[in-house]
Amino acid sequence: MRSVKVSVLAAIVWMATAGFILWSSSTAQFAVVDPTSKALRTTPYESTGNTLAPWFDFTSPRPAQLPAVPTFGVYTPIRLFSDAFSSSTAEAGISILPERNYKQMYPGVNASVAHSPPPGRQWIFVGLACSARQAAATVPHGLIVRVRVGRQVLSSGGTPLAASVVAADCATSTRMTVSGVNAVGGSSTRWSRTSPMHIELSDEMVIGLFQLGTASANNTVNLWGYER
Amino acid sequence: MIRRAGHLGLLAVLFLSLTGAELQSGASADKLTIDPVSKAARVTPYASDAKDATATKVFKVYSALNFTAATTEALVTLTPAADWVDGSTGTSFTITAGKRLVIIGMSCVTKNAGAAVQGVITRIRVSGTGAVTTASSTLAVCGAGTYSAIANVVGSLAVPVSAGWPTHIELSGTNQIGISQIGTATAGNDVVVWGYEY
Repeated sequence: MRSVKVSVLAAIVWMATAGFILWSSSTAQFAVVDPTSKALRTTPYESTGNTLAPWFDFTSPRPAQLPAVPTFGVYTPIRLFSDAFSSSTAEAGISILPERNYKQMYPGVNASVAHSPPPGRQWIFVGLACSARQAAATVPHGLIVRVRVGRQVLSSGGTPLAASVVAADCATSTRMTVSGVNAVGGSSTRWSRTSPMHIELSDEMVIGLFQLGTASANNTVNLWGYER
Repeated sequence: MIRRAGHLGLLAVLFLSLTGAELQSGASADKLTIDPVSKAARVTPYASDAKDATATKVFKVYSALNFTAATTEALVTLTPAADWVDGSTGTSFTITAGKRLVIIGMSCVTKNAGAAVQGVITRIRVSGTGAVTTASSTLAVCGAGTYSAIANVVGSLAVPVSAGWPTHIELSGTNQIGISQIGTATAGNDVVVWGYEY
């Protein structure tokens, strides 16, 4: 027992003075003791390529307030969009068919307003863009798109989205006053920044897009990001 | 001597992987843990102020929809939300004690309430000495105006307050945040500020 204690102490001293790499026995994860700063680093192991818990790979020494850099697993592009919806003067949901990896996320499922990440996954949306194209020559029209997010309740219906938190918005208007058929207005909003300054939605959340503005057709919205 | 220490080190590693153990770095409070069952290695990173931006986020949104602007600057009554649950409305909000609020961005929209153009300017105000007023420091500004004197036409702007870590804007638990507005005295104005506390 005494020799084991000596071994542990000697190993720690040796790690701190010489630098050391330690592999865990059951994964590919390993830790490094920096030979200069004596700080620890790890390169994480992700058996599924997707992890909800942040693993860190940081340089040393780490200044105060400088964050760890999360190591992500597989990025799968997702998109909530509509290429042709009509706006109205009263706020209403936009029925959309979400896409994953540029294919319909749920083939055969009807378009709906509320969407959530699959169990165990997160959605991180990067940006939101909207456009309005005049359907008539008479007047310009305006469009506001609101991203609403709520927490799901245990009932299958989820949170009533129309009363959920407005997490971001995008608005635009055409500017022609006469003979403006097909005049277009567009706008975009960057919802997230570089990691870690992004908004993650877990499978406990439900997200939907809502619109209001001039009662007119020819509006588009595109909310894009990725699933992990 | 070095070879002997190396042998002892290998014995220690074997011991750690068999029993599970915690290893503390000498230069910081970073901690390496060997799981006693899976043998997986985990690190709890060191942060001098006990904060880590990715460790725990509480998403924050401050918003006001369809508010009426005024030609004299005034505070906007905001609905705060934390982790997508609305809280009580107010005009000045204290950052949670011991936390930091990162503001990612803000947007503002104005929608013609009638057949006339209109505009609004919104300002994020921050106070380090009590409740926010219209005289508090301005952190960011977002303005929007319409171009056509037709009902429901909109104008908008989205402002990226932070550009990404570490070029970001954050407030501490000693600060209060609010939003002021000034513009055409009509309804149809929105302002949304989003970010997270950690």
